[in-house]
Amino acid sequence: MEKLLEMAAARGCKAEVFSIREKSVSMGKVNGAVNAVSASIQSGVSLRILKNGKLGTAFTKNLRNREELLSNALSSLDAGVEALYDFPAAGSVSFTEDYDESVEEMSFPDVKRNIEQLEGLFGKMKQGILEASSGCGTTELRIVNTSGADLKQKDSSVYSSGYMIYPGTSTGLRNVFAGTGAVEIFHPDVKRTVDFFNDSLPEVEIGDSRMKVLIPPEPMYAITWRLGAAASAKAFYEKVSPLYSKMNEQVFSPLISLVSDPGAGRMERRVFDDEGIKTSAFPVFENGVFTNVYNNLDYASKLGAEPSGTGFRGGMWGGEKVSLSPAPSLSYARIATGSSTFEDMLGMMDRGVIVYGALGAHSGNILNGDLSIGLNPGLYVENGKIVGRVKDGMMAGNIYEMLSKAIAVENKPHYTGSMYENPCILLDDISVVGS
Amino acid sequence: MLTRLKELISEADADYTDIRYEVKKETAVSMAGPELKKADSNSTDGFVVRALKNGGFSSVTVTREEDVPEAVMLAVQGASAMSGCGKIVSLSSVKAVNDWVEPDLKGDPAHVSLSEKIALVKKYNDLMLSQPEIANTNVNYSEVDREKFFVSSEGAAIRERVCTVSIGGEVVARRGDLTQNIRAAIGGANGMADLYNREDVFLQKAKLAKELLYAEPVKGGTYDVVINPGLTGVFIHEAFGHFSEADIIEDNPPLREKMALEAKIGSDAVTIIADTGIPDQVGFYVYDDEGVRVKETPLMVKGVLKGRLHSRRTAAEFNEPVTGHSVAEDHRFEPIVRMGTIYLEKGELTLKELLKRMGNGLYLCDGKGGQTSGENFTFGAQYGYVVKNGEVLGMIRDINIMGNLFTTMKNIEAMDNSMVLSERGGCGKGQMNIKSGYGGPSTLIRSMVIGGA
Repeated sequence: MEKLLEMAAARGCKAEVFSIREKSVSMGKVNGAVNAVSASIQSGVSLRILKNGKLGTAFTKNLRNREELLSNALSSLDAGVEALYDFPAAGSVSFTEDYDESVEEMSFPDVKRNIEQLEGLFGKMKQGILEASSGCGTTELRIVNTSGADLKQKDSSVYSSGYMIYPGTSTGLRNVFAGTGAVEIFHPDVKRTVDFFNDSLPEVEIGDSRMKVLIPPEPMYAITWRLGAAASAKAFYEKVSPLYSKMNEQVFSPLISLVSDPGAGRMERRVFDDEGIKTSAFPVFENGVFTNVYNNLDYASKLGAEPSGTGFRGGMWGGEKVSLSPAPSLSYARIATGSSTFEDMLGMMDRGVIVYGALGAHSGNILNGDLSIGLNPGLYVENGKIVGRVKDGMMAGNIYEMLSKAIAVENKPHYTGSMYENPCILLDDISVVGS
Repeated sequence: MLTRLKELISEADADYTDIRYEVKKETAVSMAGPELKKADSNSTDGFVVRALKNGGFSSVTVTREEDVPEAVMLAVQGASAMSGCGKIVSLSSVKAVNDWVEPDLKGDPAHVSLSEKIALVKKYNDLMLSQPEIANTNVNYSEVDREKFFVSSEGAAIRERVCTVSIGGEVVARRGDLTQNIRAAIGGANGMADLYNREDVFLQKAKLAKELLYAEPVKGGTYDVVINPGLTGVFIHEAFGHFSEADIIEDNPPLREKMALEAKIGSDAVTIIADTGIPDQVGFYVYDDEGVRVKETPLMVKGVLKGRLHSRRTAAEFNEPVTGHSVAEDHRFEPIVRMGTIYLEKGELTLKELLKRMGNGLYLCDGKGGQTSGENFTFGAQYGYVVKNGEVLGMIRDINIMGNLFTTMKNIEAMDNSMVLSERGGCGKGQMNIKSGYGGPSTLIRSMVIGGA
C-alpha cells in the first residue's frame, strides 16, 4: 500500500489506497436437509489520486501490477473529474474491538452446529417450511493516504437465521441472531415469531381501506432509503431534494428521529468512514425536524460543509466495495428508540397490518418519498390480535405523510441481518390495498 | 489458461470438480447534472471452484491464484459436510465441450477511447439537461467485458468472451417541491453500434419527465390495464420468469406441484419463450457458467407449462432437460439459475384495438423495477394514462402493481402485434445479472391491484 502511495507521489499526485480482504463460510438447510454450502476468500485494492483539482480512480482485485493500477488511475485523472478536497490527515487507528480471533478457525462443522441449535427452537411451527442458515467471516480493511492516515479495522461476525415460510409460498417470518464470535439466540423473540407465524397462517381478504400499519425493523430500509435520498448532500447540491427549503422545519411526527451512528451497535462498527473521516452520531432528523444534510468529502467541499463521516463505498444493494467510489451514505442510520413496548403497540391496533417484508421497495419515486410496496407478508391484526395474513396486499403513500401519522415507537431496537438495528414504528391511517 | 486450470483441479479428491477463471474489464463513466463524476477503466479477476462428492456439492470463490489450492480443499470439505445430510446432489450429464467463442461485435468497445465514451455520455446528458423544467440528470456508461475460462474434471474446456455495454440513467424534472423522474437505457451485447445516434430516446424521456410534473397520482384500487412492451417485459420477468427458475421452487413441494409441467396456469393467449441465443440481444451468450450450451426453451404454450430454466444440478433434481441457464454475475460468485432473454409472444390486434377491447382502465408504460416473492410479484410503472371507452386520457404517476402469478396469468386476455426487447438487464437475485433481457407486446390484463397514493 505504502509503495503505491510513493509511486503516486512521485507522479506529483496525492493518493489514497483502500484495501479489503474478506473470508466467509456459510451453510443453509431447508426442512432439515442441507441445500447450500459455500465459502469465499476475496480481496481488493482501490486507488484514488488527486492532482490540480482533478480526481483519478482505479481498482483491482489482485494487486499484481502496481504500475498498471497507477496507470489506470492516471488515465482516469486525464478525464477531468473535478475534486476540490484533500485526503484527511486522520492519523493512525487500529480498531479491532469487533474482532474475535476464534472466527478465523471456524468452518463448515461450526456453522452446521449453529444451524442445529437454531432448528430445535422452531419445532412448534404448525405448517410450512423452515429455512435455517448460518455463516461466519472476517473482514480486514485498511485506508492509507499521502496526508499520513493509516487506518485499520478488523471485524468478525457469526450469524444464524431461521426463516419460516408459509405453505405454498416463498414468503414468511424470520429471526436473525448475530455476534462477533458466537451467536447468542434470544429465545423469547423466536417464540413470539413462531406464535405470529402460526396465527397468521390463514389468508384474509381485506379490501381497500385506511388502517394502522406497524413497521418492524425488517422493511425499515424502505423508509431510510427515501429519507436518505432526500437528505443527501448530492440531492442538495443538485437542488432536487424535496427537503431543499425545509432545514430545521418539522417534516413529520416528533416521535421519529433518524441518526447516522456508525460507531454504535454491537458489531461491524466503524470508527472511520471509507474516506478516513472519523465517524460520530450524526442526527439527520431529530424529533421530526430535518436537522442535517449528510455528505462525503466531495459533496462536503462542494457545499462548503464539514465532512460528516458518512462517506461509504456501496449502493442500495451493497456491491463490490473496491469498484465503487465513496458516496454520501446512511448505511449506518437508525430510527431512535421510543417509549412503547411492542405489546403496547400491538394493543393499539384495533384494525391494522404488520408489514414484515416489503416487496418492491426499490420501485417508485424514491427521491420524492413515494412508497408503494407489496406486503410480503402483511399480518392482519384486529383488536390487538393477529388473525391472518393479507392476500395480495399493498400499502401506499408518501413517507413524509406516513411518518407524520406515527403514533408510537418501540422502546428497543432489533437486529435484522443488516448493519443497523431499528425499533418498530406504528403509523395511523395508512392506505392499504388488498384483493 | 485452460491448461493451467486443468492442473489446478487435477488433484481434487472429489467425484466432479470444475473451475472458472474470469478476467472482468469494466469501463464506467458517470455524469450527475452537468458534472463528470467518474471515468475509469479497470480489470479484476478471480476463480470459482465447485466440487461434488458423495452427493454433497459445494462452491468456493477466491481472488488470488495462490489461494486456489485452499479453495479446492475447502470445496471438497464443503461437499463432504453436505454429504449424508438429507439432500443427494447429482449433475445432469452433458457432453464435455471444447470451444472458444468470440462475440460478433458491431464496434468493439475495447477499440474505442475513454474520451470518446465520455463525449457520447455528455452528448445525451446535455441534451436532456437542456430541456424545459429538467432539474437534473444521472447518466452512466457501463461496459462489462468478461473473458471466461471454464474447465471441468469431465473434460470440458471453454473460453468465451461476453461483452455488454449500455448508456442509461434517469432524468429528473422539478416543479416546486415536486420531483419526477424517468429512466432511460440503450445498449446490449452487440457492441458500440447500439449506442450511437439515439438522441430521440433521451429527448423523449426528458419530455415524459416534464409531463409527469402535471400528472395526477393514481388512486389505489383494482383496474383492468394495458401494459406497454417495456412493462410487459418487466411483468413477464417478475411475475412468471422467476417462477420458471428451477431453484426458486426446488425446495418448496407445494409450489413444485403447482408448477408441474403440463399444468394449465395461464390463459390461452399466453405463450412465453426463453431464448437467450437470439443474436444481438442483451441476454445473448453461448455457454453458461457450467459449460452448458444455452438452448431455446418454450416455458409456456397457450397457458400450459412446457419447460423450466435449469442448471445441471436442478435438471437432475427435476429429471428435466438441461437448458444452459446457470449463470454467475462474475468471478466473485457461483452460478445460479438465471433468465437470459425471455419474452411474451405477440398477438394480432393493434394497440388501438387492444385499448378499445379493455374499455375503461389504465394504460401503463415502462418498468421502474420489480420484485418477486414466490407467487407474489410487484413492479412499478414509470407513467401511465387513464383510459375511458378505449380513449387515452390524462396522465398518471406513482404507479405500483401487485399481483399473484396464478391469478394474473389467467387474467391475461390479449396482446397487440408489437414486440420490443429490452436493451439493458439488471436483476438482483442475490447477484446482479446485467444480461437479464426481456420483452413482449402491449398486453391486456384484467383486474390488477394498483397501489397509489
